[in-house]
Amino acid sequence: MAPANQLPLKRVPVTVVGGYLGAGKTTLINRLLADDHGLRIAVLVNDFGEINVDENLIADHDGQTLALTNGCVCCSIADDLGGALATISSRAPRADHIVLEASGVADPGRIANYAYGQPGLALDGVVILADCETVETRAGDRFVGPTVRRQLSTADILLLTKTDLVGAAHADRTADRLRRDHPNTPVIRGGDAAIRWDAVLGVGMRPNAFLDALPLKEPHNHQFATTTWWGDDTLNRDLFIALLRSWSSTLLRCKGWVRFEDTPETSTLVQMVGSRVELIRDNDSSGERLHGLSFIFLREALSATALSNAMSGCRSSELVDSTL
Amino acid sequence: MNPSMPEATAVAVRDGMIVETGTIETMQPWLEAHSHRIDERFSNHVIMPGFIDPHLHPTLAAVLLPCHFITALEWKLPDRVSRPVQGHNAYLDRLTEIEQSLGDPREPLVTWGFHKIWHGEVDRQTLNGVSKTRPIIVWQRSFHEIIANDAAIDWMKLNRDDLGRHPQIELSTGRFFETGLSVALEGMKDYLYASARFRDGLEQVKRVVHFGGHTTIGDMAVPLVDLEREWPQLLDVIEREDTPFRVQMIPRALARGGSIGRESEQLARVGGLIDRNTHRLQFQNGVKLFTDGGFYAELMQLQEPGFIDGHHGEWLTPPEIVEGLAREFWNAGYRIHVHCTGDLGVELALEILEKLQFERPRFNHRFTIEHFGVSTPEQVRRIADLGALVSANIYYLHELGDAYWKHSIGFERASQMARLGTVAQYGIPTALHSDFIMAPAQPLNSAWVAVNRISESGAVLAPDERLTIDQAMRAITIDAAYVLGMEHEIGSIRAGKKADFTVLESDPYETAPEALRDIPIWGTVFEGQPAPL
Repeated sequence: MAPANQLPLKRVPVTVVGGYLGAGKTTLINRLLADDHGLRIAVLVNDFGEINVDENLIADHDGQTLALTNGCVCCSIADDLGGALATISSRAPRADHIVLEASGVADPGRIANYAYGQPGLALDGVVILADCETVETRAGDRFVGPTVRRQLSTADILLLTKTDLVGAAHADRTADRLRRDHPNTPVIRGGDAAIRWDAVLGVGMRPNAFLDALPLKEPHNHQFATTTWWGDDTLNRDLFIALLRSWSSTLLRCKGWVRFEDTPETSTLVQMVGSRVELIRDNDSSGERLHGLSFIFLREALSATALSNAMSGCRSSELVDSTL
Repeated sequence: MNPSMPEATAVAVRDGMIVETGTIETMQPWLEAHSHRIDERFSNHVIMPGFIDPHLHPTLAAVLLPCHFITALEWKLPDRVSRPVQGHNAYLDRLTEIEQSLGDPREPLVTWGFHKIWHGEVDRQTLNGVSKTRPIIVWQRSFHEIIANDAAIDWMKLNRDDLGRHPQIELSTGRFFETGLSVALEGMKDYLYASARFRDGLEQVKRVVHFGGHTTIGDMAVPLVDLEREWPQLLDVIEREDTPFRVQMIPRALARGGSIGRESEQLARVGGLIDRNTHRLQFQNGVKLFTDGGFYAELMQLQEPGFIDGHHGEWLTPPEIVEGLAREFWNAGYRIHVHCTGDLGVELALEILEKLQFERPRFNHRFTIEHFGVSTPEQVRRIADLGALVSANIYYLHELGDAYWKHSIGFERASQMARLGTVAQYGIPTALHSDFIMAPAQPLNSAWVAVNRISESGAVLAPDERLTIDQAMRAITIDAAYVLGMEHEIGSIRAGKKADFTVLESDPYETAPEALRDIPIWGTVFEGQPAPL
């Protein structure tokens, strides 16, 4: 097996978590800080007071920053997002992943721009939480309707929360309406207890891990299924992007390396988070790289055979020597 | 400004307090009973109650005043007049002139006031043309954007690769806007917030406040960033014998985060601030809340039909949090000031007030709509019905009336910004404020806009919304005092009030409305102590 190459971008991925007041952002963040995921995750929150972790987990608390024994840190944004990001970026050891909480009225797209542009960081994606109990009312509210609708439309992934607090029929109806209004965005369902971070953050999908240790471990949540595709053939870029787009309502994440026929000598990192697709060419083409993609689909969505057939359809017509 | 005695020719003062107003003859009983000295220095002047601006931001102004002003409209400051500079070449000439006047070649040049409507396109290369070696930073009038030359990008120690990737930084033009601005501010902050610079800025603010003829101001959102850093500096600069004014400090109801269910923590924090009170720096029972976004930045929340270009305003605080905090402070008897710039912001504030009045009626609550940019006539009636007050930034109309008419919301709503005539018709007590540094801290200038409604181009916008001179003078004295809950102490000249006066060279009531802002100010008297300009 080929040795794992370095990422072309050695930046810390940032996932923006947004959603209106009461959508469940804090619950999600509390779980993230306490869960045993083996990652050093840095969380930036608006309100420190809401963070609720077991005191035994707290290693250090200096006012603006809370360090946990599991390696995670939580930092208060306190009206200075730029400063908080700078604080987190300068900490050693470096975080594996940063989760940035957008305030209830923030435009997550704007917040995502911070992550996108901040030195040393890269935007992973925007996950918007929608509270089953209130999202529809709020989306129609005269004061906050436009804000809520804008947040939902910024999502790369929509996460429906508090499904356990309403009846199944209500949850189904809300999910259907969100899918109808946001046809290109995967809608994940889960009561608070069922929310798993591996799907939201793509844990286990970082390319280094992907290449080092295959197969991927299965996501914990029964809603998702991981599938892997291998192939050294070059792909037609347009067909491939069109394929990803066609899956955008059911494909949560896709990550890995491919070669395109228009740039056959270099590998391209594919990174898809819900409706967001990024293709990054590897500037360092020395050494061989294993090409392949891992996918997290909503479970019911796709069979391995169908995936393989669909990917075959993206192969370039011109046969390229796979040892190139 | 006491209608029971509109005019007087003498005022007797003891220990900073007025003991009698009238004529030398009418005050004989006092004069016979106590030794006294008659001071006739103001016999050829007009003594007004000390001017009051209930809403400005001394700490924010302290950060910005040390900048070099190059402004489209005239700004009179105590140590300089920023002459109107309009047109691209005029702007660059002025910038070059400032650049050449600076001694230290490494000293950064930060200028404020730029607006492309008046100054054309200025970019990195243009600024490189002014200096290749001196960092030059052009800070927009609206504060939401800066433009930097190459020397400034290096000075801010920013990595050009990173800047190149940022969607709200244009390296080619040197523009940093919205979230990109925070990257630039991070690079500038050690310079901007350096303690010596901030202190110098506060000293300038002090002169500006005196220069405008104020004897009382409201600091309408305490703190700017960090009270523990700002308070010692405020004490050092403001709480001094040579400061001829007092400041009512109005704390933010929401400090950093804070959320539903924890309002009582905010109430406790605010309640504790009163222990800091000194002679000139006073927390009382006022508190500040925010609804929608900035007016200069076009982020006010509008009801339909919104903005011409279809963009949306924003909420500075989630409506539910505004409501929760308003309820907490309302039930505790506070005077609530709510920043509302657009008519949807006003609507939210009124919805909340209506709920609170239903739940727990209060009289004399002094709930105040602050700024009052875009509103509807029906909202004014509701303001009156609910017993609320208005504190208006009338300067919006003068500076932005034409621009928002042509580029933002159209003539009808732009011309009716700050509809104070309607407000007066409903008898709503109204203050004028500057929100300094959003508008010049000059009450006579604010009054001039209110009585004339003359826009930047000279057009008269919605003449039916003009105030009378008396209404405007009340709005910078007794009604402004009312908005701050201080009308029993200041705002008019009568026995028992503080001896705070603004001394003018001529009588505003005898002045042509168009000339109101040109009345020279001799100076002020603060608690009986004359303070000439």
